[in-house]
Amino acid sequence: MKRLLAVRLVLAALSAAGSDAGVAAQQPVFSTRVDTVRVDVDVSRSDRPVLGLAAADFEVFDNGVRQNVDLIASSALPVDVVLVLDTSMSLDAAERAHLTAAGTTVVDALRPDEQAAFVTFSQRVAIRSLFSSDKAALKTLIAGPTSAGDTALNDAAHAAMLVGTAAAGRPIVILFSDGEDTASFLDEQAVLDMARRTGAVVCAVSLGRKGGVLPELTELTGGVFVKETSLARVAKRFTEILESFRRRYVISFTPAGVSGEGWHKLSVRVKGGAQVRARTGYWSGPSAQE
Amino acid sequence: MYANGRVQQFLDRAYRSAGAPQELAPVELARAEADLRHALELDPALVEARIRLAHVVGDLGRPDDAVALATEALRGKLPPFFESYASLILGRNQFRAGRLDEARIAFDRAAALAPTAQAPRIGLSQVALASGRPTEALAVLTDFLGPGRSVEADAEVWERYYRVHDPVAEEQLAALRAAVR
Repeated sequence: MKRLLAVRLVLAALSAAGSDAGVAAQQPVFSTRVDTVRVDVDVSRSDRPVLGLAAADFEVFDNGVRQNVDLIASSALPVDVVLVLDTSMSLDAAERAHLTAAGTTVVDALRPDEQAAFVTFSQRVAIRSLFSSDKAALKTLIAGPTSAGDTALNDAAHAAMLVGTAAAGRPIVILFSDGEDTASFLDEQAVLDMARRTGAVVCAVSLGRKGGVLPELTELTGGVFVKETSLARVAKRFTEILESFRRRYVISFTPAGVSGEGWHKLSVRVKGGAQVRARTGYWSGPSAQE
Repeated sequence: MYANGRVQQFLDRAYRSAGAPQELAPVELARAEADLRHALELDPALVEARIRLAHVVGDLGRPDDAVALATEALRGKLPPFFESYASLILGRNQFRAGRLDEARIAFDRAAALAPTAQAPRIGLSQVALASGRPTEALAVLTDFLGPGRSVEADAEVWERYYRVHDPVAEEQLAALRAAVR
């Protein structure tokens, strides 16, 4: 069975050309069906990033079968952020101000070739902006919502990962929530299933409780889960997540010696040993096509 | 199975203040299944019990049982709230059973009954993605939840189903009194 995975073909020029289309107007970029799998990989030793690795330093196993790996210059693939903020009623005005500042920090940190989309959720999910490089418009939107309602965390994660499929560059979902799900249609297993099918990298900052689906979702997608105790530090956490993601290696391979639609388990290692964070698999089959 | 408006308001406040999690423990679901089955033994015409039983057995990992119960409930004429809720349960469990076309039909029915509800659109986007159409999956959401779309929190069937019974007892009594007169 032919393995298919939709991989965004990204050129910086295309990204730049598409970035000024306005907050609400951007259409999903084209994707193509190729037999290439792309993986964002974070490598560290003793909590410090390991830089300067070459393709030969990586060992990638697809369903246990070793693959030949290429290394893509991450500078050729700008980061596209899906910023997701919890606007449920549990946040008071001061906390909401911290969250607005955190979101604004992310937008300010975007480089000229990078974009952000913006999603909020209470019991309702609102996709307030698709990918845009219009920082002023994004910041206005981030400052807008007031806190109200319950917490549809699972539905919001689903929506954010779908928004990420329209990224021209390397999509990352950066999500903040202060509680567990109380209102979603999707249960946790459904969200994890959608995550396998979209290939998104989800990073989350959670205030307080266990974070619902977020620990498992971030691990599955190769993201990070940060449990925070103060909203005043969320901006710093967001910045750390973004900077760390920019430093990631982008490796690719054309699956060989494996077959079958469905979930392919990935194992990524670095020769000589290191802490490696990468998505734990990819979906091959209908959901990866288009 | 019915509650008047004041009781529903109380339940609503209690639910919100407790921050009740959506996903219940299997032991609680098993207890709910037993109670709902007992209710149906006492009165097989209790359609609300049948729909809620479909919800419970689906969450217990028996989507085919849930589909059968929801389908049975949808055979009769239902108030819009229940028809929409039953359609969501049907779609959710058809999806779990891997029947994507049937899931889409059920979610479309729920969406038609509750045009401002979020849950059917989430379900439809889930079906589109699982069918290999991520662009359509995103479009389903952006057409409804995208930039510039209004947010009507009170219109959500799914979000209210824990605490709302339809029709309320007061309406039922009023209808009965009117019939007697």
